[in-house]
Amino acid sequence: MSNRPFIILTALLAFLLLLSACGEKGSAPNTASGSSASAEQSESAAASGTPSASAPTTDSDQQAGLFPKTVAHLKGETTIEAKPARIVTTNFVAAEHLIALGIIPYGTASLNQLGIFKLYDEELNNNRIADLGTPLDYEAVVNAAPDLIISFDWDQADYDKLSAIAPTLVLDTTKSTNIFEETFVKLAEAINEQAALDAFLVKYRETKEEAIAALKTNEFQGKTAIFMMASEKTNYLFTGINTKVFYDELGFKQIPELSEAQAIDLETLRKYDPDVIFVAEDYTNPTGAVEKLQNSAVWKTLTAVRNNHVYETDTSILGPMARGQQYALEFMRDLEP
Amino acid sequence: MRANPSMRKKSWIVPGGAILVIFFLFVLSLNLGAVRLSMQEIGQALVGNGNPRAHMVIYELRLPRMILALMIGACLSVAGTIMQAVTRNDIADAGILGITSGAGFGIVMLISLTSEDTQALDTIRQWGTDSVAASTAAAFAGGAIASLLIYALAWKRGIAPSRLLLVGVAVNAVLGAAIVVVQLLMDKGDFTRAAIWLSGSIWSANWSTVLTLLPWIVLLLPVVYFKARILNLLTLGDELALSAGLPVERERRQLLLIAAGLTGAAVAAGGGIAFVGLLAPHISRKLVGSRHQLLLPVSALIGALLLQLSDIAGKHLLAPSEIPVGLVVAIIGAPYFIFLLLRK
Repeated sequence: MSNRPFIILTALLAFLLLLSACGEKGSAPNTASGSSASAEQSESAAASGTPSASAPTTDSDQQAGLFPKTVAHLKGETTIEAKPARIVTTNFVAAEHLIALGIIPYGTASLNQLGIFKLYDEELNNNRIADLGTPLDYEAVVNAAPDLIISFDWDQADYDKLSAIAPTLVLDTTKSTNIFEETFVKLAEAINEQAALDAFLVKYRETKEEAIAALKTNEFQGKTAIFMMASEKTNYLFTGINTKVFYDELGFKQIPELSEAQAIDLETLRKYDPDVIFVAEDYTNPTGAVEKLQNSAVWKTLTAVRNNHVYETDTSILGPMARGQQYALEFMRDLEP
Repeated sequence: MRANPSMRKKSWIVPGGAILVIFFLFVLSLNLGAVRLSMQEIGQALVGNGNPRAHMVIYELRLPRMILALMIGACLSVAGTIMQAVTRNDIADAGILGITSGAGFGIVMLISLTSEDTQALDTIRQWGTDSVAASTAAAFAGGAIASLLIYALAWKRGIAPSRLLLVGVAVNAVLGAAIVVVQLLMDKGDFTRAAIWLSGSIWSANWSTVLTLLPWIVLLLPVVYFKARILNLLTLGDELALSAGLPVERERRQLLLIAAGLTGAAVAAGGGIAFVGLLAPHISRKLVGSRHQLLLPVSALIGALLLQLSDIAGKHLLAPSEIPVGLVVAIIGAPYFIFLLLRK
C-alpha cells in the first residue's frame, strides 16, 4: 500500500513548523517615550487618587539636563521624559532596590514576598504599595497608570505589553558578578538617583570595612563556614554569587567540596563539619525546620554547635536585595564570637 | 444506516450549545479584569473606535489570552480523543502517555542549550526561547520523539493498545524524571524559565503565540476530522479494522504523530496543562456517543470551553494573584474522575 499519505503528513508537519516561524510578530520598537494610553491613564489616575510614590517632577531636573533621558537596557532603549513619579516594578527585588534608594514604588508584583522580610516593615506599613499580582497582572499595571516600569530579565514579563502601557526598562542581571550591586547601580543611574545611590554605597562600604575588622578581631577569618536554609524537605545550601562577599571579602573559608552543592543533608554536614554555620528558615514556607534541625542528635555533635558558632538569621542576607546585603554586613560585624 | 432528520437535528444540539456557552463566556471574559471598561468602551474597541486604553486592554491583554485558551483546549482535547481511540482506553491522553512530558522535555532542553553558560550553536542561541517558534519546534520534536519511542518500545509483532498505554505510562515517568534532572543542573535563571514554561499557564499570552499556534490548528484539526472513520474502526479492535481494509499500524503511527503535533503546539503555547485531554473526550462521549465524526468537533469545543472556564476562574478568583490554569483544570478534573469511579 502506498505511503503517500504519510509522506504528505510529514511534509505538512514540516510546513507547519515553517509557518510557525513566519507567524511571529516582529519585535516591538526599541524606543518608547510614553504611550497615548499611558497619558490617558495618568489623567484618570490623577482624578482618582493620590499615588504613594514620592518625588514629584520638578523643573530643576529638567533644567539640570537630567531629563529627558534615554536609557539603554536589555530590550533596547527607552526615553524617560521626566523624573518618574509613579514607578511600578515587575518583581519585588526591583521594588526593594527603589526602597533602598528612598523611593516608594507605586506598585509591584509579588508584594507579599517583600512582606516576608522585617527590613521593609516600616515602608510597607506606612505606605500603600499596589499589589500587581503574582504573577504580574498586566491590567493591574494599566490601572496603576505608571510613568515608568522597571523589570528584570528573569521575571519573564512581556516587554511589548509593558512598553505599550508606559516606558519600560528591563535590566539584565545575567552578567552580574555580584549579588546586587551592579543591578542596583544600573537602576539608580537609570532614574538619576545618584545622590541616594552614593549615600547607600558609602554606608555599605563603611559597614563592610567594619565587618572585616570585627571578624578579624574575633578570629572568624579563615574559619570554614556554610550558609544554609532549612526547609521541611531538605536543607538548601547557598553558594556562588549569593555568598561571594562572605568568602571573598569578609574572610570566611569555603569548603571546596561544597562549593557547588545546592543542598546538604546531616550526614554530609557531619562529614565536612564547618567551623561556623549560618542557618535560616525557608522564607517561602516556614515550618519550624530550623528548630527541628537543632533538635537532631547529629546536629548536636557538630563543631559549630558545640562551640556556639551557629548563627540563625533570615535569607535576606543571602539574596539580591540591597538592604538585605547591608543588613548582612551589619550582622557579620555584630557577630558574637 | 442513514441518519434521519431527527437524529441530524439532535447531533447539532450539543455542539451548538457548546458554541453558545463559549460565546457567552467570551463576552463575560471581555468584561472581566482589573481595568473596568463599560460595554460601550468594549464595543467601540472591538470595532476599532475605542480609546487607546480600552484598545490596549482588549486587544493586547484580554483577547489573545481568551483566544489562546480556546485554541489550547481544542488541541489538547483532540489529541486526547486520538489517544483514547488508538489505545482503546478511556484514561489515555497525551499527558498520561508521555507525549506532554516529551514536549516539556524538548522545551527544557532548548532552555538548557540556549543558556548563557553553555556552548550552543549561535543560531540556536539567537533563535532562543524568546522565540515562540523555537519553543514550538522543540516541543513538537520532544513530543514526536516520545511518541516514536513509545511506539517502538510497545512494538511486539504489532501494537497491542494496552501495551501502548503501559509503555506510555513508563515513558511518561522517565521523561518526567529527566525533566527534573535537567532542571537541577540549570542555573537559577534557566530554572525559573523552565518552571514557568512547565507550570501550565497562559499568563504570558500574546498575538505572537496565537499566530504560531494557528497553523497547527487550521491544518491538523481538519486532517484529524478526515480520519474520523479510521478512528471509529480503530476503536472496534485491530482484527475488525484490518478486515475492513485499514492499514492499522500505519494509521496508528500517523495518528500518534498528529497527536504529538497538537500536544507539542499546545505545550509550547501554554505549558504542561494536564487533564483537558482526558476530561473533554470523556464528557463529549457521554453527550454525543462514540462516533468520531461528531465526537471530534464536540471534544474540541468542550476542551476549549473547559480551558476557557478554568482560565477565567484562575485569573479572577484570587486576583490580583493568579492560579495557573493547569491547576484549576486539575481541581475540576480530579473530583470528576472520583465521581466516575464511584458511579462504576
